[in-house]
Amino acid sequence: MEYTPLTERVRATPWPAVVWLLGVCLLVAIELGRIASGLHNIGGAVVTAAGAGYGGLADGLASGGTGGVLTAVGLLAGLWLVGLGVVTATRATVVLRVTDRIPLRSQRLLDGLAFGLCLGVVVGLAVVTGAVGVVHALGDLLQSGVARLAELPTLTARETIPNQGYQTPDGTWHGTFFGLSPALAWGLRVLLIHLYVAAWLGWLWSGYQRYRRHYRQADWTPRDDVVSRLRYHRWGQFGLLIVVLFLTMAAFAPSLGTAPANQNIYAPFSNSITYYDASLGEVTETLVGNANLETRSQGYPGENVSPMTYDRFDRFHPFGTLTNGKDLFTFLVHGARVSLLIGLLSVGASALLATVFALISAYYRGVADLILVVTGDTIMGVPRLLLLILLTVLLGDTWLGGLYNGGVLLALVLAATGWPFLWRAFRGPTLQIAEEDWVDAARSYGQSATGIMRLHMLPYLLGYLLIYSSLVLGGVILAVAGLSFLGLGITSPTPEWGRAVDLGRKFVATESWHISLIPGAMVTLVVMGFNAVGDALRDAVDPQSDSSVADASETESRGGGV
Amino acid sequence: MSDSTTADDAGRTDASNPLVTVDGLRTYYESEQLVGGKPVKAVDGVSFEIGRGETFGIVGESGCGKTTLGRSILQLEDVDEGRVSFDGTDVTTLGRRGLKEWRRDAQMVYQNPMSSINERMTVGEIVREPLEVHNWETAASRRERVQELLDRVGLRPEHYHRYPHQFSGGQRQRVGIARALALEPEFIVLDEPVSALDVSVQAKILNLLSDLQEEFGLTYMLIAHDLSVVRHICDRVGVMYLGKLMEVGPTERLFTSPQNPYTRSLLSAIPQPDPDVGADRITLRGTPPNPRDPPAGCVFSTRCPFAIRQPEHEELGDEQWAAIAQFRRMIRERASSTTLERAKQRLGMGTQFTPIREVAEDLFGSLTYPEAVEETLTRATELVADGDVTEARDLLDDEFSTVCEHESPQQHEVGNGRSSRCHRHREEYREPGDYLRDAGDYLPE
Repeated sequence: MEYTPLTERVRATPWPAVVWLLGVCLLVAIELGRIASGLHNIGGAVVTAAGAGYGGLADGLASGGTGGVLTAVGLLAGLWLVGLGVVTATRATVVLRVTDRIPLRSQRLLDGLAFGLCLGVVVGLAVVTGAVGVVHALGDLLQSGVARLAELPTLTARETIPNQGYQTPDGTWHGTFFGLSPALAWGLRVLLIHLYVAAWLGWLWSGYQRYRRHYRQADWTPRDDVVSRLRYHRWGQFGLLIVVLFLTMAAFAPSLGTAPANQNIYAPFSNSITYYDASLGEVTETLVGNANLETRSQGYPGENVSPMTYDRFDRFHPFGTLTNGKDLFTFLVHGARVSLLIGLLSVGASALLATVFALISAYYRGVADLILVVTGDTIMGVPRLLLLILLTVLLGDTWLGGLYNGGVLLALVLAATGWPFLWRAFRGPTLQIAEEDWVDAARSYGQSATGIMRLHMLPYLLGYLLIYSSLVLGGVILAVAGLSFLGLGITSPTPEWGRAVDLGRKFVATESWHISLIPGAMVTLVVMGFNAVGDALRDAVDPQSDSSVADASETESRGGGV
Repeated sequence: MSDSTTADDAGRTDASNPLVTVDGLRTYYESEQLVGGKPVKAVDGVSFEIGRGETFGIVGESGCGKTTLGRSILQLEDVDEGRVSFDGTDVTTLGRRGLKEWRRDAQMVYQNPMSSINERMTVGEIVREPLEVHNWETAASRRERVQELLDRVGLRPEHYHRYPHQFSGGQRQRVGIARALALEPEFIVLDEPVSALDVSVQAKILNLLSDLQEEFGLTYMLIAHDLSVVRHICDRVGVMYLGKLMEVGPTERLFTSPQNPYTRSLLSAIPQPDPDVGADRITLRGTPPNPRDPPAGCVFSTRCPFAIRQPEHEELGDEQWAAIAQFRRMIRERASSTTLERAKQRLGMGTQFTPIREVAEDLFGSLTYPEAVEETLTRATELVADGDVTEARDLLDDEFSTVCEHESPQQHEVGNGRSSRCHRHREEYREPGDYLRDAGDYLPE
């Protein structure tokens, strides 16, 4: 059985792959508009961030003095890192062509510097000569193309199954999907969204199985055991279900909400709704803001909209309303987006730092390890809440603090203060891995330090990475909610679960109990879900927790006798 | 690998043009303590040569530094002193690039096949990695070469996509061998390649190694503690003790007529099928000394049954002599304890020493000594009891110590291509063999 590239294997038996790809195309086509609009948003955010970053750099450089010098140094360091990345990825060499006197490691660093400087000069020239305009034009063209795609109708969109309408005295509903009640229409949409997600997950699983059956050359891999252990881990599956629901909530927030976020939360006084006014006896139009003022939940029967009820404007509220009359469910699904974005950004950043640092400390030991231990312990020694509050206040007014209503800043601060905890957890196992003979063997045939870390140490760390990241993600969601509860972090009106809990604090013992209780229960549930997934991964990755593999002779016998 | 029954083992060795020359190699491990720790002298001044196409064995007890020696030769350890010449170039001075290039020529097979290959890679990837590191031709030819290597070491082509979990220890070791062969090296260090395997598999792996040597003209350095393995496949053998090479010589002659006392002791530890022959075994007393603090003279002097004695003690019995050696060892230990340790003992925190009179009673109670010796021992005991440990040590040194404890022995040439580190090879002393015959004739010659 010779090794053949995947493309050739697919060419040999194309049907399973073709069927699967057709299915993927169908699933994408149903939601092409949403995907395109997502891309459009991400592109817009990147452009904004790049603009802000460029503005910050230009200001820093123009300001001169210490700030200018610091910015310049930061810019150079950034360019150097990018250059180093390019050199490592492409294995290109510059210095070697000039002289071979310099040791290999310094060569790599110098090459990085050379590439980084070249990049800087090219970009600088582009900005100075105006060539950057071409890039802008191309970008705009792309953006408009994507924007046109974004207008395509999608299956799960609010427009396909509208749920906002009014009821006339004869009991019929106007403006809703097939004249269904708003609750039913909304329920149908929610169901459809979850079916769509389930279809995707099922199809991905089928794709994995097709790959295993038709295309994979190895008849067994260590991952197979992990997967098969996960298949019987009920607690982990429960966690996974919660996590998937949470992810769905974040991904499909605009169409899950009973009302559009812009209309209900961000700009209620710029949008209007129509309703049937019984006193006037006709269909009337009113500003959402004015309507919200009359649907507030303030803790007594006269002024309260409970879960699963309609308000007097015929709007359905699955989770009731907030103290300011906004829909709690819409608030929560958009809050899930914020929590997830901060969670992923901060956990991603701190996991990256922690992994790189753990590999460095385990591979080089000695001074490198000592420096990291001192740095990490120093950060861990400062009370984290104090540091969080300090940094958010200190950096709140900079351009960084403006991104995503302070969300990006919060994520970065959480990452900067949180990586030592992850690194501590990784360092022990990594030190153990670095002691293994195969690491030494790799050194004996001349594998580079980065190569050893990437090929022979990182794969063993991945399990820990997943486990601890999922555990920490729950903690981050909790921390963000906690900060919002204290009135820090994410500013109003951006929805955040913690702020909902804070708003409803006074009404816990009244009619309006739902304001605090539902978001609070959801935070608990989501954190529990992530922890359950982490536990399941640990059980699946750590063979010691599995008793059925004790029969080693079975796996060995498959290799054939010596 | 020459047949062990060949009369002249050194026949294939081209002594004038060795592939590997090791000269005064020293590898010390720094102490973990921040202040005042002594380094561990894992390899301490080792010199030997390995001829082209030869299999050179290194034997010794565990912890004697044989693995460190192999790793030092391959530049996997930081060498403190000495030279390792490979084909005429001193590899200890090679730069990063040069070292990477040289690694193509010198490879290693590890002891434990369970930990020497990365279990997250397929067998194909494992064997292919060295080729990728050294940019071996094209991707297709690399794959071809891996298939070729797998076939050569006795694995099947479909094993390419299997993971190490699916293999037995012997098969894993074959993977390790294929990986070592990938870059077409000239020299391979085999670090106890079969000691972790089943006995039934050992022979197969050893035969594979010898076939490969013949086919590719490889030079091996075999590190082992199993003497029968060494005798089976090595052309020449070096015997190591506490970081020093005690004796080097062609295998058969070294096994049939060992020159160095340590080699004799080691060989007499081989179980003999004939119970009559095994009756006169030399049993080594105690354990090897701490390599952090090796004996001052000959490293073997503390355990050597052949140690040179001062003329007036020649007639002392073996048991009497052993008790004195033990007594001196304990007093040396007490004398070298640091101020901190002594302070700890005062405070009742450290290990308390047994009162010296009890020790003396234990050791000498049942033995009789000539008067002069008896008197010295009693005086030393009294001195220690009075707290003058250093003085007691000096007294005993004056009375009993000899050249074995003062001077590190030179590497003496002892006949055709053999050398041994022992003072008894000097003209003024009797050869170890002669000495034993006189002393009671208890080693079979």
